[in-house]
Amino acid sequence: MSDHSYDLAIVGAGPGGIAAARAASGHGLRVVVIDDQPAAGGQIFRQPVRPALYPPDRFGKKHTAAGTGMARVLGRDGVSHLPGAEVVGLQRRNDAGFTVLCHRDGQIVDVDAERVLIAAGCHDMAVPFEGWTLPGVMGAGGIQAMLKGHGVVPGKSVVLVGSHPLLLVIAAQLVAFGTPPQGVFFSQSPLRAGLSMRSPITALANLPVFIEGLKAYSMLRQHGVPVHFNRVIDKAEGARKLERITMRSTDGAAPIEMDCDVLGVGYGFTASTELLRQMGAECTWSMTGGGWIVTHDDDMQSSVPNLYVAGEVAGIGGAPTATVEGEIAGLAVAKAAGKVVSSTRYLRLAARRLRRRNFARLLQKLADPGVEILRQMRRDEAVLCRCECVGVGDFRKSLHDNSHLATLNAAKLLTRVGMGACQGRFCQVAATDEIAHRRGGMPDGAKPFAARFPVRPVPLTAFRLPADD
Amino acid sequence: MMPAHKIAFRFDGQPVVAMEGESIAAALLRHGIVGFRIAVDGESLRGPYCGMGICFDCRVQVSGPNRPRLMVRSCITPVAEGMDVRSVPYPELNNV
Repeated sequence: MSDHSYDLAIVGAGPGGIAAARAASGHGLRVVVIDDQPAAGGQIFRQPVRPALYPPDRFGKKHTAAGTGMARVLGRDGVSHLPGAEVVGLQRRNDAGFTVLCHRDGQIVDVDAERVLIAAGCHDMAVPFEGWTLPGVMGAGGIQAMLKGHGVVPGKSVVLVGSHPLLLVIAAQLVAFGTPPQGVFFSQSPLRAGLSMRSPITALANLPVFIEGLKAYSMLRQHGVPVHFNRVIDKAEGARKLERITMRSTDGAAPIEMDCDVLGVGYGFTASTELLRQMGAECTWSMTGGGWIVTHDDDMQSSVPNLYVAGEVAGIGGAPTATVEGEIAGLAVAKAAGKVVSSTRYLRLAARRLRRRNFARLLQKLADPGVEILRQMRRDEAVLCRCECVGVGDFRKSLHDNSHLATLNAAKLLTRVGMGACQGRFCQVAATDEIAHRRGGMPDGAKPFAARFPVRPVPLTAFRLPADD
Repeated sequence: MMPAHKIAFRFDGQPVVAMEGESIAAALLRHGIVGFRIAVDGESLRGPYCGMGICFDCRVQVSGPNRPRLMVRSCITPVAEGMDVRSVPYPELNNV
């Protein structure tokens, strides 16, 4: 049963997916862009759910322009947009190509395509610490999604903690929404951040990004928002929701206690590679680069023929990287489909991609909290698996009592870690590090949780067959 | 700014006013409601964490109008006039 057939199905309507759609449709390919959000943009260019929800250009001119530009691509002849559709699995077809299984409006919809590009992006890396399950503790990206999509600040008194420079940008956005955060607390020392920039040429070539950061920083100074270094979140407390946090210092200063009702946590990101893993694509582990990320060739093709990647699933790289990789993948697919593609354009993009990936690596280093800091935060009292309420201490005891436990899948069977509704997305990074650390091996040895259809929970009613089948 | 159309729904029986187009989570957070459900341990409250449909900690039960009772992620599900939204206590969930 197939509802549609395309030359290329793109999963994700962020910058990478849209760039691919533009390039592929520009060469006459029939393209469908499938996205789980109601509107295109991905997380970075998430648009307001209603027009004029907040003043124009609140998130910068680039953000507004991106919204218009994406709408133009999706409105092109030869490009279909399937919003509000969650891709829950891929299947190889007998003849050629794939069937993309989507969950939409309570039904499973099949989309057939010769080739598939996964540009599914990433989400906040889940970092367990004591009290992180309390309502009010959120991913920094979660706070930003509320701001961009709804103009809602999820509380009155916000504190941001983490290691990612994006926290400065979010803090400045909170100021613009009239709720200046009480403070931004980075775990690194400024010296360490400086030392990670050992590539002055790469840094200089990407000056605008640093200028954006400095602008955010000076805006925070202007509004009296303190920015601290060497401060690590220790615990969050509250009766039925977040009321208070404690931070410890790594430079000998006294611990800090603060009252707040929202805590934004930003230590990095985890790439959404489950569809690729479900298809058996080759992956590699990178703690700072997004967890399990997918290896690929110069055409952005994964180890599975005709299955392509762009952006975060190939390693956290931000919108500029995703855009150029999406375009490369779109052109590669056009070429593979027999279209004539300009080799000059191709070479230029390849060079641009290298530059952007170099910069992405530099940003990853700058944003890296260091695995030791995360391990110190992950005390026995913390919850490891939010879905199944498995504590870090319980998990460690299982590892201790069962010396054969060496993979995530084995640990899942014994401890229920990763067995809940999020399907391991939120415990995978921490559980992988626990196993690697306790067993003294490389994280690769722990292997990812098996990704199986459906890769997101689907109500059973969605699988009902039509009466005439 | 364009005036937003207001709609009414219920959360655990209490009336809540929302703006058209916004998600259930955004509407509840706007009203200072942050605990949406009880976790499988039967006691700890949970609310939105990721805000983008990944963590499933903001899930609620939704029924009406014209739709059967279904568990949804409140952060990616738009509110609708007359919607009946309920927190998801674990024992009750077992009886669905």
